[in-house]
Amino acid sequence: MVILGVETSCDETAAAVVRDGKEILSGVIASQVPVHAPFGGVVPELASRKHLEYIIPIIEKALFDSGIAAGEIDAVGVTRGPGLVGALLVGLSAAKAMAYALRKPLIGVNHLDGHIEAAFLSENMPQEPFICLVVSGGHTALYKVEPEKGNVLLGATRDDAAGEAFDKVAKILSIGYPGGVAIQNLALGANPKAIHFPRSRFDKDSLEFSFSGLKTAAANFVRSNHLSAEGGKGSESLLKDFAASFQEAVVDVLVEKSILAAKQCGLSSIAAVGGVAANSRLRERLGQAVLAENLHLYLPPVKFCTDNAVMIAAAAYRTWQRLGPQAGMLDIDAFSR
Amino acid sequence: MKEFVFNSPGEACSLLLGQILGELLEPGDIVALRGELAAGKTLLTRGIAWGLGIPKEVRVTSPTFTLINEYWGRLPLFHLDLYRLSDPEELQSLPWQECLFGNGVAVIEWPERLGGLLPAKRWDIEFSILGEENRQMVIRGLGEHNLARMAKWVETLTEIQTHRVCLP
Repeated sequence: MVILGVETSCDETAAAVVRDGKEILSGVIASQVPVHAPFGGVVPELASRKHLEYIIPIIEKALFDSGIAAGEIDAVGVTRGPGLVGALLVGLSAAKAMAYALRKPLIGVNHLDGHIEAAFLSENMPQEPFICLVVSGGHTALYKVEPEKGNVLLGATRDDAAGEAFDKVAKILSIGYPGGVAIQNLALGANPKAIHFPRSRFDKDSLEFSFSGLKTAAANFVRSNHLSAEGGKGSESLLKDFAASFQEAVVDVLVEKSILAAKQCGLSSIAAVGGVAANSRLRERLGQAVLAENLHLYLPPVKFCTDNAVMIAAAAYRTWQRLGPQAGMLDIDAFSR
Repeated sequence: MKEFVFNSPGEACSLLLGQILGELLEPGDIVALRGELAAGKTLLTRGIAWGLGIPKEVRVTSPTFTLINEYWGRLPLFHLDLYRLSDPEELQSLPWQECLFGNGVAVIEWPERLGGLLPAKRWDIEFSILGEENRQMVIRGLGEHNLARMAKWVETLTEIQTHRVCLP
């Protein structure tokens, strides 16, 4: 079964063609398109109007790259939400129009189910139910994943996403974007225990997250120590220690709660997906923790961690396998959260 | 009185202020929140959501990534965060007018990104960071109608500031 996947939930306009949920025939993201391409290479900072410009050329390119004609597609899978409704509607409307014109089924996909699907796109994919940490600029959540039954939300952030905390602290320091990469680089070789930052854990059995308090504590530290990227020689090591200590506070909670979720659900495997799953310290610490707890860890390649349409096509395939054809799919709507 | 200065010693008190404000808000109200990162803008919005009758189980999370979050209570609440906007032209891609000029309440973080498009009839809340948890919030009613309502607000807010347990 060949599925065309379409993703426009946030900044990326993406389309992909995937056979049977795992054989990737093509995957195109607007921001990756070379500058000389007819539709330009500017990363769309924001949403619908840019999506509108890119969506048709991106779908055409995904089909062209795959070598599959539009008529040979078996179904169209598309992200319904969560995300910005105006952005989602562009992809959703294009997908509906294609499904209608081609007389093929439309499959609505939850963006987070798409992220989770990335765990199955690694070479050694999990064979049994597992815990999935979805951690990105917009989301921080833990899921119990049982491929046959669907994904169950165990806990999520009550305020800021982990990636957002990275971005905002990097912004306060003026050290560049994306914040996760900038902080990770600053933190290299520095002391993660130099500064104590709060870890929000709620009660000891909770699988909920909160990063707003940490963001505030970090901002307070920057202010009271007059920390900045241009602080001169004396403050360079403090800046590095700050970055390492802040990163450690985020990573500590992500690792702890992931292990806790595995224990609570009696599962022996953990996967981490989403943009922040590319953070090297998180990958290292998760690796150490699963070793100590005798668990398995699945970390998909970074290209499937960030927003893409391959994961949406793959998730659509799984939905199809599980639920079969659904009535009224051309009437589905986008949702923001 | 044109403004009210509210000093909050911590999160619980800021949430309470938000809740009281949420109870006072009317359809079409626009609340502009001004303050640096980590000033407590989203926290106050969570309180406003409670005051608008949005159940406490509903997560009122940061809209930085999604730009606009919608909630349904006594009145609809549109929580906008324009932090990521860099070019005014990008506004065209957002349904911001539907949020500001409908029958709900619009709470806007980083309202300066709207420039001259920010309606004159609104509420301004300016945040200052006084300490680790201490925050000062200066509330101003703008426009004739809101100025008239301000007197009532001041009465209610003064009472909270003087009597509520959350204050030292």
